[in-house]
Amino acid sequence: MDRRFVELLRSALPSLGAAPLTEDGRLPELGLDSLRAVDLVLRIESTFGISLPDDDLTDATFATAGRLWQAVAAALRPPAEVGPSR
Amino acid sequence: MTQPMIHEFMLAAARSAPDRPAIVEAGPDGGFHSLTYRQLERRVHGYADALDQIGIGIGDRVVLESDNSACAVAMLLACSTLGATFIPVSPAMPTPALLAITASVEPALHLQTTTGRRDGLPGPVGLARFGPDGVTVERPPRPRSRHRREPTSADAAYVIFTSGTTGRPKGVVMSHRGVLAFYHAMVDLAMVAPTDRVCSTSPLQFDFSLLDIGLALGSGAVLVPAPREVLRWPRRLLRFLADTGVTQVDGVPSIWRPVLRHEPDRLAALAGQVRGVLFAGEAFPVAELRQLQRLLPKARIVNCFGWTESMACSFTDVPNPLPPGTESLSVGFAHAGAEMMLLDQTGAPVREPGLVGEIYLRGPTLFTGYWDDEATTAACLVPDPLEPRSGQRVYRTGDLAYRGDGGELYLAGRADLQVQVRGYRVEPGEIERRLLEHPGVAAATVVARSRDGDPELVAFVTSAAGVESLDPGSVSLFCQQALPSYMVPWTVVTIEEMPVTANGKTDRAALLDRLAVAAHPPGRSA
Repeated sequence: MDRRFVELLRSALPSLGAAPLTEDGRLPELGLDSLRAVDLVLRIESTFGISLPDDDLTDATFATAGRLWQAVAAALRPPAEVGPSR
Repeated sequence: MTQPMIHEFMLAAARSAPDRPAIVEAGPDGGFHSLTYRQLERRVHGYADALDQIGIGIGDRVVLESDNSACAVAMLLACSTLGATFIPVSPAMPTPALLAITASVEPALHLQTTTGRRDGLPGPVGLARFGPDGVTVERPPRPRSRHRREPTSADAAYVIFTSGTTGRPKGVVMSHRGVLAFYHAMVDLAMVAPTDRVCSTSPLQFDFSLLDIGLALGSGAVLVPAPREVLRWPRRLLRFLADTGVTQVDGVPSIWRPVLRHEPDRLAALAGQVRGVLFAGEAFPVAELRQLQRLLPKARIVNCFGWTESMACSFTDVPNPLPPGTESLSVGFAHAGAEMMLLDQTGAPVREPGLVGEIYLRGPTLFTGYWDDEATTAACLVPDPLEPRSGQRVYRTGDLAYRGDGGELYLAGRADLQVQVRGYRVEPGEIERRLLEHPGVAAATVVARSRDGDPELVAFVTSAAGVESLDPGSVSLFCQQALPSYMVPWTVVTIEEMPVTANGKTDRAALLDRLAVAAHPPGRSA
């Protein structure tokens, strides 16, 4: 996981404290409620200059740190690798 | 024509306009499905037949575990058809909370959707699933003796569970006649026309959704239940509203906050389509309301206020634009046929504008009582203080208010500790009770603070003897296992000792001050 991503995510998890953030860290259990999740998406999008597709805005994507990073990483890849651009 | 039961009211359009759409919803395939009033009525009859065959009848309690959907609406109307009482619960409800409710109401049947994942319900409760294809019985209800023959409008239509202080779930019992008195008063206000499409955003176990269903179907309009997941994402919500052609959006103010903050342009694009907004459940911050008015300049915005104990009580048009200097919104006057009285602590009327009193509600919409809780019922359904000899009961609401110059009411807090979180009422005592079950916690106090205009629960705890340090995350998680998500305190502060006031009560104000100091440490400018 990208360091900037980890920092953004950490700031949205009130229950994480100083504990390390792992890919299987379960975000809802770390306090990522729906309002924080919406803010997080906007901050991720502006930091990385990407737009997460609507289809990625699901509970499944936000289940763990690793799943969310996968979605961000996919959006970071050049369009050629993910098929026709939207 | 009299309609003694709620299904007759909601299905009236099946007589007058059977081929008009009643419900439009998102399907699992990503498309949208429409059900006409005739099709809805058929589904209601199909469900009622299936429940009748397993012996569900008058007075039986049926737990309806579902999000709002065409099937859920059909099922609650099927319960009404049989004279059974439905108890709506969320699929997201933690199992211990559901078990507490089932232990209290002793339902004949637990119903969930075909995709529901609930298990572990105790033996005597019958189990069934329902969906577009009908009802599948997994375990029939235990045989029971029948004492009733005729359903009546005084029977309980539903029981809604809210946060309680005693550690037991608090069930508000609503009769058909109470609900119908409310529905008729609401529909007479003509907020919704048959051509409207009303988006309902509240979960089924929050009676705001039942208000929406009555408003849409009772007006012969279209109900559009928003899927839970869509609501969390402003972009998806706005796309859903556009795709389904919604003309009115009903919901708590907090559904608008992320939309206003992050997607104002996409909301403005719906200005020609969305003509009405109805909100309830908590105060709408004035700055956000002004922004909503700017983005949807033609929308009629209605402030709906009330309590589960009467479904709601008042509908007040928000002036557009809001006059400069407006700090709080009026909750106006009760709907036709009901009256909000303002009384002081001796039960005498408060007449002078600006003086604070407690709201008492009088009218035909009042709840029957709290389920299996005579003491709380007697404390809230009280003899009319203005004329106790009449035998009339009125609802003592616990809400404080004052009157404006025109007699209209403005809220001024609570007479108790209850707080509102995203429209849900929350008793801090219920959360504190759970915190005290944690082996590491000795004392606990829960307060609500504002986080960017949104109420946030903060738990202050002291650790039990012998406990070196208390992990805040584990304390939150412990709450999450038993409480609905809106009641979980995500900020847990361990303190040495609970501050007390001169009378020995927990000093909540001191705890709130502590948070304010932590947010703005002395010596640093803000």
